[in-house]
Amino acid sequence: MAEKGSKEESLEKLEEFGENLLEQLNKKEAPSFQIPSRTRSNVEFDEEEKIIDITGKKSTRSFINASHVRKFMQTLLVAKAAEEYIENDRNVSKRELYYNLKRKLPGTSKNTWEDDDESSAVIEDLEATLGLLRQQMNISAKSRGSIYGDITIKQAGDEFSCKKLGKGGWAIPGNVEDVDILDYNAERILFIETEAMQSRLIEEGAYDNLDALLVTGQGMAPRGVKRFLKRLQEETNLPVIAFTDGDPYGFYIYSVLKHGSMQLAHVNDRYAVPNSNFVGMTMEDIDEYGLENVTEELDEQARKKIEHNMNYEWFKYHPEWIEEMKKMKEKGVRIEQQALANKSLDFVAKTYLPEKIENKEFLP
Amino acid sequence: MPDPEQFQEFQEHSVAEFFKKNRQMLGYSGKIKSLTTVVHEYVTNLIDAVEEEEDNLPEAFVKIEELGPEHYKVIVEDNGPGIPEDYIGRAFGQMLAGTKFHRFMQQRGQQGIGAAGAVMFGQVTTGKPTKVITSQGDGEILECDLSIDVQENKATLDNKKTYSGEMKGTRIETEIKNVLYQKGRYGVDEYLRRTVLANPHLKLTYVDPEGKTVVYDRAVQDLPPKPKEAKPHPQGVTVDDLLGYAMQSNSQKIKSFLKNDFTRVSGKKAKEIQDKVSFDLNKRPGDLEWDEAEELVNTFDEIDFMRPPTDVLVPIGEERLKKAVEEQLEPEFKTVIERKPKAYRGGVPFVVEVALAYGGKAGNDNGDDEIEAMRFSNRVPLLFNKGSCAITKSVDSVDWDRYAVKENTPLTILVNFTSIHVPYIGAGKKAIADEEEIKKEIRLALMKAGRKLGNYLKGKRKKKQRLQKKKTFETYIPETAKSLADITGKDEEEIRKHLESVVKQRFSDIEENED
Repeated sequence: MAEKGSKEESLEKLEEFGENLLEQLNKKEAPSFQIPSRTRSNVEFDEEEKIIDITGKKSTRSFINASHVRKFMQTLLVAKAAEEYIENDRNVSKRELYYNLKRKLPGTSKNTWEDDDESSAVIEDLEATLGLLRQQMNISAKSRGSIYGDITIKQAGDEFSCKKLGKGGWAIPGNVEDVDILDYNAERILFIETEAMQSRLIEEGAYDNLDALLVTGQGMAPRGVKRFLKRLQEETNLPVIAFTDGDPYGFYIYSVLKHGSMQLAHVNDRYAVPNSNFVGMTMEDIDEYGLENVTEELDEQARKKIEHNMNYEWFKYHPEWIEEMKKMKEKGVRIEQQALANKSLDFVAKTYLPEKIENKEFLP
Repeated sequence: MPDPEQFQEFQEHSVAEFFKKNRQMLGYSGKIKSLTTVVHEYVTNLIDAVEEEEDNLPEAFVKIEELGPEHYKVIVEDNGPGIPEDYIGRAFGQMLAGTKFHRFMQQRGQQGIGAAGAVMFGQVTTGKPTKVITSQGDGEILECDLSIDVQENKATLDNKKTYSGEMKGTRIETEIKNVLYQKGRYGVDEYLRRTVLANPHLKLTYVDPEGKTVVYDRAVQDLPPKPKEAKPHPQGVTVDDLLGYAMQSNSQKIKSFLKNDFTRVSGKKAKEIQDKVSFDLNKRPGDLEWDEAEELVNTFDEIDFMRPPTDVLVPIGEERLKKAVEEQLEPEFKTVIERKPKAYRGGVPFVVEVALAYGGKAGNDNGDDEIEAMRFSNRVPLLFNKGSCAITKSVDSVDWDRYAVKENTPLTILVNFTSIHVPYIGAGKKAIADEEEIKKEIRLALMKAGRKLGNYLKGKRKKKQRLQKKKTFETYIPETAKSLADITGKDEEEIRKHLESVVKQRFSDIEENED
């Protein structure tokens, strides 16, 4: 068995997948394989692992089923392409893969796929089936977000410190499997929702006075950022603290960071950081720091989001979260993290964060 | 509405005169219709004549020659018994031969008027006589010009010639004007085509005005049985009818008149009748009074008579109709339903038969690719007055959608109504009257046939769907095989074969060769 996460593991799993189907054919059986189901009703909150996981329910995709055959062909197409990319050390984006493999089916006017919705869905299906992240199949995810701080990493033969890249941080790529963490000097990892806030903190030298690695996903963290955070946390054992806007969306972003997402239920174990905590913005902050003046009213959509949040098992698992959502509902307002500028520009870096972190004023 | 029976009252005046003034009653209204009617009269006559001979299968030759605008010559020749000189006048030149009128028998046309009407029409439009050439097969051929003396209501034969020659049968040539030959629903071509369907024992050679020849071969090689003469059934008879029969009866007493001249009147029934009426049935039939006749008719209604016999009816026949349809339409699917005989209006026996033909040459109602509905009465095609016909109404009343029939389904519906008395909606009208019992029977036959067709079409559709499904799988095989071969490093061709056999096995229920 090849080393987990390695190139060999990916190749092994892909080949096994193919061999399995071939075996069925040799037995004169119609080939089929199982895909773990990831729909809303097929995910559950695993209270032990504290991540959103698949229930284990599987659906079969069979060649001889008229409503499956197209996807069956497409799945094999992606699998074969992944093998090729891995062997040739190439990384492709989803969109590139879509173009790369789009061609006419012989004797028809149809194509292998018509749009990239089709190809994206199949990529995810294969991820779930093989238990491999798509990055491990060299299908890279979007890159967005960055890290700034006292940490030295190595990728593609280059070594660099993430505080020595000028005024900005290191842009986290979609695929971080080949990134090595060489050295670091920090006490904590701070995940920041907005890039603007990250910039603020960089300017204030907050990495230093907070002893923190400053990571932003620029909104909902993409795969690369999530994966990087997970690896960071596992390899450094540093606590992850989330800092988002005080609204139902920000809180949801945090929940995904902590417990994973429904969409990636089949691979959340490689993304979720269950022991992270939440520093703010909270409804209590508004009163505590006199920010009544700079709140915003919640609109209809936001209210709906609050309701949705409260219905998730993983939200219910934390009474404090439910409490927070209720407060939000009651107050009927939201508070952005950048609103702290109302006190003073350096308030967030010099007062707000240091105080709350020192006193461990977190939500779980 | 005037009907043939009422022509009786014109016996005093010239019937030929009557024709001249009321020819539309005989079918001579409209240019296209008139030409078709002439052909109809001669062909109908011919089939009847040949069927008189025991062992002769009818063969006909029909030619339409165009002599000028709206000016044609109709030539009809048969292989029948030929006509002796003395009878030519009666056969073709006299309108209403009289006795045939009250025959209770299934007949193709309005006997006694038909052929003479055509001769009359030719005479009236061109002033010319009809040429008759005939021989009884004895080596001697008679040729003459036949015209009708309108005043005297009799035929005149002029320019008689006899000569020797090999011929058996009759050839008739009539010139007509103010008519129009047209292909299409009301034309001669369509009429002949349908006639052959209803008379599959007929061989027909047809030459159209353009000189093109069509030969319709026989689909069956034997003659149909001849319909027996029926006697009237007491139920449904009118006072007028009754008096008429009584006048003509050979019986000495009314009691025996009822037993002999009617069907289903037994001695027992006669006694029952006597018990109910106020007068003596031992009277002479000729002495029957109007109110006595009325009493009798009312009494008939009260008594239970056995249903009329049905061996008087000769429909086309299930097997013969099947063969006829097969021969002419070469359909993908056909079904023939023959209902049991029934009676309408209390006593008149009739029987309905229906054929449905799908695919092949069926459907395509004169190029419109529509459902084609053919109407027949007593094996004679009905081409006109479509909308008023009970057959049309019955066909329209069926929910064809239920049987998977759509608007452009290539379907031919054939309905033949056989009876000893066909209730037309009017003289000269080629439409069957709206009698409830008749419509009901036609509907039932159509629905039964429809169900069979529906099952076939649904099965066919299913098969088509299965084939399409199979094709879908086949389109994905190449890519799947290639991918699998690349991943496993095994032979692509072998994998492809495996996948193909998986698909083949799944669809083993359908045959490979399909349209």
